Amino acid sequence: MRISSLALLGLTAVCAACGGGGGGSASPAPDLPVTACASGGLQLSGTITYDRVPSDPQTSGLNYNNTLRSPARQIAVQLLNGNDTVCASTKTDDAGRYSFTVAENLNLKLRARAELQQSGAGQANWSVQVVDNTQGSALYVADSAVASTGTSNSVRDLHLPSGWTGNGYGNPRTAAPFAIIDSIYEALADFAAVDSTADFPFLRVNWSVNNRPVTPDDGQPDLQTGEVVTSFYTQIGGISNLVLVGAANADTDEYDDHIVIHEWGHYFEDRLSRSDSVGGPHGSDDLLDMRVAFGEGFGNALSGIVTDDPVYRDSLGNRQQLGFSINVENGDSSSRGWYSEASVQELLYDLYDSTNDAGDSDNIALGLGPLYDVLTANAYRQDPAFTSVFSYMTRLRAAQPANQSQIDQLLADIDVVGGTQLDAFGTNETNNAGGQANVLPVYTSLSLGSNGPICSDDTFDVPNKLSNWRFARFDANSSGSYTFTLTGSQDPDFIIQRDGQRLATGFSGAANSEVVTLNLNAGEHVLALTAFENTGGSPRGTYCLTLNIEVN
Amino acid sequence: MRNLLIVAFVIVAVTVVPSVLAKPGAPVTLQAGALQLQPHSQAQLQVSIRAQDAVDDLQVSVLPPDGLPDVSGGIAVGRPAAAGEVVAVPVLIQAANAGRGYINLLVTTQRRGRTEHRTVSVPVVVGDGKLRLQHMGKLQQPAGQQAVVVLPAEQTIR
Repeated sequence: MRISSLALLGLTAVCAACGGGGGGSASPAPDLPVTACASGGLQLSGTITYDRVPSDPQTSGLNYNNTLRSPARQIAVQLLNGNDTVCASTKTDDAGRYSFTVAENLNLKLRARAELQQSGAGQANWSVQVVDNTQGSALYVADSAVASTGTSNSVRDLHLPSGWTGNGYGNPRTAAPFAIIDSIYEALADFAAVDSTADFPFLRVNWSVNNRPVTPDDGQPDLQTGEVVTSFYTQIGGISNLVLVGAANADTDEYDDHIVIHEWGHYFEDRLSRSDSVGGPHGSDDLLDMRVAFGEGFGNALSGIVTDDPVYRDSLGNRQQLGFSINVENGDSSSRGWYSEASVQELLYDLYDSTNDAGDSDNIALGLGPLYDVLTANAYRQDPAFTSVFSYMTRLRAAQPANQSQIDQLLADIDVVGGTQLDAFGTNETNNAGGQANVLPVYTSLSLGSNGPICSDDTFDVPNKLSNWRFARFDANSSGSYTFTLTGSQDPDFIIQRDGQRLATGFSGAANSEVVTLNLNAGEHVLALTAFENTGGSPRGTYCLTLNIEVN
Repeated sequence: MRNLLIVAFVIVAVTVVPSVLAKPGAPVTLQAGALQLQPHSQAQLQVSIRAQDAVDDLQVSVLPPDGLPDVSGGIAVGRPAAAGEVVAVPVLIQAANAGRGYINLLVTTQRRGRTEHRTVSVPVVVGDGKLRLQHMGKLQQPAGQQAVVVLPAEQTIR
């Protein structure tokens, strides 16, 4: 059976004072790009801002009373003539400033585009758009009224309002797509700071006031109708797509910067790093499939890293006044170990942050750079093992010889094997989720002939929880044709992978067995095995699988 | 409201759990399918919420609906739920004109003192069930260029 395979993942960077006002700061005005609109010598300049609605720290709902005017940073800006034809383009700087050279007495309108574009040698490259998925992926823009350039230099400031009128969104929510793209810029800027040559593939962000948490009958999000299930990341036709809900009085995420960055983190993993996550529902107390635990813990940690705020918040409900929070730094969860997103996020955030917490053995402050280096290293992206806290931390620990004792303390704090016992396969892991069966070993070693039983069970719920999928490794002694036959449930399924690349899947839905024949090169391969009954079908339960491997 | 018709429904359905890389939330899933009603009718239904994990408290409350004049019900179910337990939540719906509306429910769970929420929306097909999307801004399709949704901005000229 198919496990809809959405691509995955990623992580990111930091940014101080995002969301907020502005800033201030600090940075002097850079040389602004200037494009001539028409011959002439006048300067038309100004600042573009948008309403940033912050969270209430008590309720985690949105606090409209404290709305801030934030600079619309690095967005594309255009001048349009009376025929709505673009006659000049530029982008804002980090303070939201833009500048054009224009002729006298031209009637022009200013257009702010929910778009980030940066390309060229010697700098990070990116391309991001926020579009309305219920209107044919049309790009959101905000236009000024038409005004004359006059006969002298002039300043036109543009403000993009939230549309909040005191008891609801009585006006268009112009600020929303610009708040989203500013959160993404925050992440991009942080990553660019640690890798000035990073190349971020095009990202389309789908947001609409119609995007609501409806699960269509077929389970698949429907972008055209806005019945999108929830906020998520996926690839569609090879293009990275982030989908965000925007249904007022139900669930909106445009101002929930931790969520925007969490989902952007999945994009990062998918396109610049690696993830083998199968996705699906998840939460702090869940005992998850290790691939899911790492990806989601990473996304949560990243949201804290980029915002420099460890408290992840999600607003929702009537007038967006409710919400909940997760402190990614404190690891508060009943689930602790290699299968816990709460443990992963605590670990990654503690590795990053400069706050040393004696309570959880945090005596390290790596910052983003070392975390990024491992995430994007070929050694990690092509690691034979599936992505997990084991595969990532094995690489990070090896890259940080001076910090290994501190890293081992953090691993011990989340009940994950460390020290010289740590490897990418969790070979020496002893945390069996409180003595549960079908948890360890993390990987079963396979050989030619019959292997097993290897049991998939639903003890920790389905469809992406601990023990739904079981993992195995197979070292092919020689190159050649091999046949894998999995039995033990009405619909057994499996994945064969090598060095981060999926070689084959056995998802046919054939009754009682799954057979795959393929050519393998000699070397280490990993498999994920399941009974589809526990990962999408029914009835869920304990299914003990037997895998037969033959050389043809 | 004319021709009021009261019908009792129980929404049963498949639990669909999409595999997407999504945000965290309360450990519940909605078990529901689209409900069909005639225009200007009223119906009582039960929405089934399944607890994925044991929770100390599970509450479901009604949020303002979309495309429906009224949704109500004595909906606060405040009690523990075991892992896998399905909680039936009664909802009274008032339908008006034909179209596709949505019941919006807020599910709140407590586990070890931690509060988590998840909002779920249930489609309601009224009459022809035609979907009427809200459109924010004006759609423009410049020749040979990407379409844009034009939103209003406030301009200050100095």
